[in-house]
Amino acid sequence: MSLIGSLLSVGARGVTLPLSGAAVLVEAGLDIERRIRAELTTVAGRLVLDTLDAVLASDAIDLVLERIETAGVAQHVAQRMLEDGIAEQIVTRVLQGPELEQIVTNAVDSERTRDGLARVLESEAVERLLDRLLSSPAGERLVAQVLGSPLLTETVTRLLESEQLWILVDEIARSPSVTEAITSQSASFVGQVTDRVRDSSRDADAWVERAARRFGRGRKNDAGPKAAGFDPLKPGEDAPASTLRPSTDPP
Amino acid sequence: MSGVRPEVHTAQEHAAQARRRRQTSSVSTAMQAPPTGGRAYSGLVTRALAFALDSAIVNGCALVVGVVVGLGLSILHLPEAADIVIAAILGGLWVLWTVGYFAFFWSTTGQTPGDRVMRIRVIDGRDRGPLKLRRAIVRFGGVILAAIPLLAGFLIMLWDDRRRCLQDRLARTVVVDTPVSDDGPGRLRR
Repeated sequence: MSLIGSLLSVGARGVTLPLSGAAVLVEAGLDIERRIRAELTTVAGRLVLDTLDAVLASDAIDLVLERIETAGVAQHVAQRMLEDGIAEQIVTRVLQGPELEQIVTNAVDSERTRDGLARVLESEAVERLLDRLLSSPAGERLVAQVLGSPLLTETVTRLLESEQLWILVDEIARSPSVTEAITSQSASFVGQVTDRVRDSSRDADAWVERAARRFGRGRKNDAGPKAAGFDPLKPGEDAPASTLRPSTDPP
Repeated sequence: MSGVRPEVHTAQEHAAQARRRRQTSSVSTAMQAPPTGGRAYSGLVTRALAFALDSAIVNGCALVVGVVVGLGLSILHLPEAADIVIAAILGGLWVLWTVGYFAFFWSTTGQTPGDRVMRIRVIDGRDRGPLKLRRAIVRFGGVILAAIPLLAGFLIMLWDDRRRCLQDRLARTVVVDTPVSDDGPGRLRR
């Protein structure tokens, strides 16, 4: 029995040995494939980014944008998208999906993207393109549609409901420049009010004095106080000391 | 008389002209008023507004202090006699505070905060400088006296060539308008 068992065991080992060798080989092959793929991905990513950098740094974008501008492609595309309602669908999809936030986060985090965007935005071609787009009838229609769209209302509503916005507003309101501006505005307002009060009080002084002197003359037909009349100078007016003028009160 | 210097001669002429003016026209009384550097004497309404502002400040401060002291004393259980004494002391302090407020500002800058807002200044009627403390106190006494006969002491300014109230006559002061750029009574001096 033990002999048979030993024979079986040796036989089984003889069968499984080549299989285990094959398994080891397959595993090694898979590992190598994974490594090559990872390496290729890294190299390809680097290549793409380098290419993007090179494109952004070159005048290619300007040339492409100028071509687009002269051919009126952007206007055609915008018109078609608006007519077919594609633009609205795209905007709805983008705003409702999580991709926008992710894209924005990635873009904001990436130094290269920021540099590239800055370069693109600073190019004259973009400026000209935007000018043409905005002054074209299609641009006007786009703006009208965006403003009339319920999507905008919903976006504004969501924005107002977001806590971040109010934190931002609080931060702005607490900033020293805003506080200083409000203070100076308030001081200026108070100054204007006091100036007005002063002017009015000077007018009232003259009026009261005239009335009193008229009353005095009615009681006593004498020059008395009128003779001593002193014509007050207007506020801020400064005349030489020797030029105190006699009263110009009406008789 | 040919040896008389021209400037002396001119001064004599001026004095003679001034005498003639005094005799011939009562308008000239305005010319005899101490010069104010070309500034107008302040009128009744402006001065009343300035005084109202000062009164608000004085009594507002007194009110706040009174409330704080009253609340503090309400915690303690003092006998009634002590309350009366404390009230009398606080009343005395209020009088001192009021007199001190006006006297301090009149004798230093010549402007109380209310005067500053209304751009008027109390100055000596003769040398046009700030008042001395004693005269400032006298002037405050004059304010009280002027108020007693139904404010007649204030109303007399309406018929005065230099718009002087009773307190101005007692303390020999005038109240003048100050331009925006005027920072102190010293500037009024020539």
